[in-house]
Amino acid sequence: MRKLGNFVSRFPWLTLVGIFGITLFLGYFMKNIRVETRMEAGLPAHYPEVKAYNRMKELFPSRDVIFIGIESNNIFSLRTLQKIWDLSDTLESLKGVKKVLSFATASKIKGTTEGFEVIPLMDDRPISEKDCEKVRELVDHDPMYEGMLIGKSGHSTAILVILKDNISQDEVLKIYKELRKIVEPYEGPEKFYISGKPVVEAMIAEHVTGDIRKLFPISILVAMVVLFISFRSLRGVFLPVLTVILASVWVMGLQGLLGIPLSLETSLLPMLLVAIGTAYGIHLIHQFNEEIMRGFSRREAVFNVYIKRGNAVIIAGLTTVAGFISLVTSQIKTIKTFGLMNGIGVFITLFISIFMVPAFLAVLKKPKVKPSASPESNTLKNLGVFTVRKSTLIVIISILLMIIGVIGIPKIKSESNEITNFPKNSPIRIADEWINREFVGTTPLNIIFESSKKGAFKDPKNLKIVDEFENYVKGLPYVGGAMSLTDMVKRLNQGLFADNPEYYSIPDSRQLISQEIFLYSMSGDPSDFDALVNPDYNVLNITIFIKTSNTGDLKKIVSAINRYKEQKLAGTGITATVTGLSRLFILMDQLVVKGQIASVISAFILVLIITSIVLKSFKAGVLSIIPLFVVVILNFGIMGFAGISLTHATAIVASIAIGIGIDYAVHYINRYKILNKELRDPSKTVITSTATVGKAIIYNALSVTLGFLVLTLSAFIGIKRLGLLVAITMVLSAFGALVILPSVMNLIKPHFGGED
Amino acid sequence: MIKKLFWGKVFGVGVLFGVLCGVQLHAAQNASKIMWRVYHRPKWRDMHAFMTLEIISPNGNKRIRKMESWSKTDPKTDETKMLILFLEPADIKGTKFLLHEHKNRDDDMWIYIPAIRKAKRIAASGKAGPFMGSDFSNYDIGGGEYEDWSYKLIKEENYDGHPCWVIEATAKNKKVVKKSGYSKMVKWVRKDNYMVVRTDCYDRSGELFKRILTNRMEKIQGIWFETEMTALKLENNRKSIMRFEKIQVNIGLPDRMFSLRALK
Repeated sequence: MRKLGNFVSRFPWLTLVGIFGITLFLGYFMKNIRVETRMEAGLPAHYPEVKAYNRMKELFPSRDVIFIGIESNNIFSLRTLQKIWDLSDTLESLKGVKKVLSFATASKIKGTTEGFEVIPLMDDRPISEKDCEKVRELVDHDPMYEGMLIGKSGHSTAILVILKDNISQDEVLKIYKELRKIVEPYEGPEKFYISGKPVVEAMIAEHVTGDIRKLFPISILVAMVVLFISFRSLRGVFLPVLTVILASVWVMGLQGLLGIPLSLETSLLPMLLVAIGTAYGIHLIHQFNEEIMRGFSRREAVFNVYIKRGNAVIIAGLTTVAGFISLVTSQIKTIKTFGLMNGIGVFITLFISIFMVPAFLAVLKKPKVKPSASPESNTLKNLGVFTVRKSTLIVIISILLMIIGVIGIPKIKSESNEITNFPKNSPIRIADEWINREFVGTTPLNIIFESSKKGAFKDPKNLKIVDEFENYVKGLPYVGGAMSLTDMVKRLNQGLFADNPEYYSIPDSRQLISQEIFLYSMSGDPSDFDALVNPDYNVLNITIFIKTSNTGDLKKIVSAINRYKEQKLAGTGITATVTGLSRLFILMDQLVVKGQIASVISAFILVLIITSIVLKSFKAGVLSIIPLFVVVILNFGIMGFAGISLTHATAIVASIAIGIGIDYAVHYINRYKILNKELRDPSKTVITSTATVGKAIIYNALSVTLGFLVLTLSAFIGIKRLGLLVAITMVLSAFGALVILPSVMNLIKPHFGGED
Repeated sequence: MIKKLFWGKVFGVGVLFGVLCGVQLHAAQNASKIMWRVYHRPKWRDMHAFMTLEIISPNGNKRIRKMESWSKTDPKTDETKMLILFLEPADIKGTKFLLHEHKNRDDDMWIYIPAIRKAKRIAASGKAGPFMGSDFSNYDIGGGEYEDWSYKLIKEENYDGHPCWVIEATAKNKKVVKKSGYSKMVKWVRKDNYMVVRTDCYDRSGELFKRILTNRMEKIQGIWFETEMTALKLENNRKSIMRFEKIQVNIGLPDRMFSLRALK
């Protein structure tokens, strides 16, 4: 600290130039920032569930599909069909689109005694009622179209836009924007609903950048107001704000430089730094002003700032860094990255505060500091007295609160489907729910059947097993439909026998199955099989469409399938793996929960170590985390009772709360330690400690709380809740440090040995 | 519907004929004229050959189909009849495919299915659809219509050591795009024999997505013919190779070979 103080007080200009140089350098790389919001990107590649999913994607082209639902009082009216034709036509020539499936592009394969007929539903843009009648005749009562192109109510149809393989998220975003522009003029009286995984992800990506643009200025403004109230001076406002702005530039630049994409979580970085990072500058300026008041010169004052406050500020920063770094224990990459980048971000803020703020103070004009009012406040003193008098009661109430909190914990629901991040009344949510109601469902689950024998799935015995399996799955709740080779074969068989429904079954001859499939490849689109079975016919893929996005319901479906699998496939030589997007939702969910436990424990341990070292006493370390313990349990209790689900966003709250909240307790214990040496009376020490340190803690907590409340303006439910929860935990942490901690201290009357 | 199936190609081969007959070409050949010659090449009377179609997935997985084919063209109507017997894979061995091409209406197509000992009439998916599950489309195999495209000479360059014209063919209207699946093709045409050695195909959104290469060509009874071609999907690296072997031409195949009765 001495060396640091010497350097900055002697070479303030050099320090400033250095800081701005780095800012320019890193700021340049901000241009490289990409957005990545695909869920798969966040999951650890070495997990069996992820491996199974990736393998499926390798074996079967799983193309992203944008679903455009159309609601019309008569889907076979000339107006609606013309719209479908025109839209399909335009969308087909959109860059990045592989195929469009709709009434305009579909053909019907009809079996006759003579053979097969392939009849396009529309040959050309429909111009007469006759053309419309033809479409209606062809599709009506055909199970092929029900749930896919004709909705349950009969007043809905769809255009499925199938995207090309291996396209980047940037391209998906472009397609989606383009598509929205194309669809818009067709609105009314038909209603259009657009959803599907690429849409959800594209919208998140869109909102992520939108969020930063909207929330960053607001959080800066909030910080400025708070700073102005506490300092009433320009430098007091601008130095901390400049610090966090520069820190944000550094972190974002670093992200661009390292090629770390922006995710829902990391997009919070700038706002979090503003909420957390102004505190360091505040402390330093306060100390500087105090030194000036005592009559030191600017340079001497700067030097003294380092000697007297340097350590305290660094420790406050490091515990926060530790809180974030504890998130690295999560298996979810986006949370890991968020923790790491935030840790780095806070460290950078600390670094910039330590160098830049004093350097500025050294070169700026000497301030006129009015002696502030007595550092002791009467209200706070009364609070101190209260905690001393009612210590036992307070501790009992705290324990009761914790018990209530613990009761709430099992009520916490977890949620991983990104769509739940959008408000219930948002267009995307409405669209998704409508589509799930009308059609087969937007969340796919896959069952991959495998045999070591090539050609196993041309064998009628095996296909019949798969068929029975599929029928079982179709009977499960929330299962909207399925797509499989067996359905295809059954339909082909029926077609071969003049569409006689009696032949809707798997033929008994392997040759016939092969030849029927071959026949289809000559007559229909053979790539229709690509998604159903591998070329060697020993890996078969059933896609099941699920009508719920609730992870709990998905879990029930998966475990039912797994149970059935055990008995059905035993001794058949066929194995089955449940995978698909739905399975990843479940994994994400499990990992969020697991990661939550691990990160809370490691945050507590890290913080305990740091505070024990800083306070030079393990006992003090333990004491400092007691209020936090209450806070964290209350946080989870609130989540349980208020029905706030645990998601990858809200899972971050506990770590933030520990990392920041610990500062208040450390301040308090530090003050207590010093005072107790003079006063030698724990009760008196508690009262004086509360009275002197209380204001700083309350101000600090207030600024962080307001900073996080800004996040409630986010477009995402997860982020809103994150902001709200952190705000609540900050208030609780301050309460813990000023009410619970003093009561505990008063009861156990700790005596910290050693010197300062 | 799969008009001219292979035969568009086979029959169109011998623009070269003209060249051999000593027609002296001007350096500044007009693109449309060049392409007219490419499309209107002389044909054999009939042909018998063995064919192999290999479909190779991006991870190297191969599917192989072997077949034997016979074909014949009516010199008066210029309509072709063709019979294909499938030899491999074993599951579909004995399956037969019969095509009667018609100038003014949809082609007739039948498949004989040995498992039920019956022939069934089939209808093909559109021309833009894939040919037998391969990366060739029916349009690639059928050859398409000369009149559907506007041609522009982009440049002249050597390709594989042969001087070529590089010609851009743009679809004349939306219908052509829909039918062929291509908005544009760029073709490398050999100057010495009017054979297309490479075609770059652009999809409906104007993006390059497929490349067709002629790997090998042979001159049989004075007519050049592509005996090996590759279609490569640039989007996912899937490719298909089609090979002709043991080609016999002008052997006097009887008409009854191509009757529906013979199929059964």
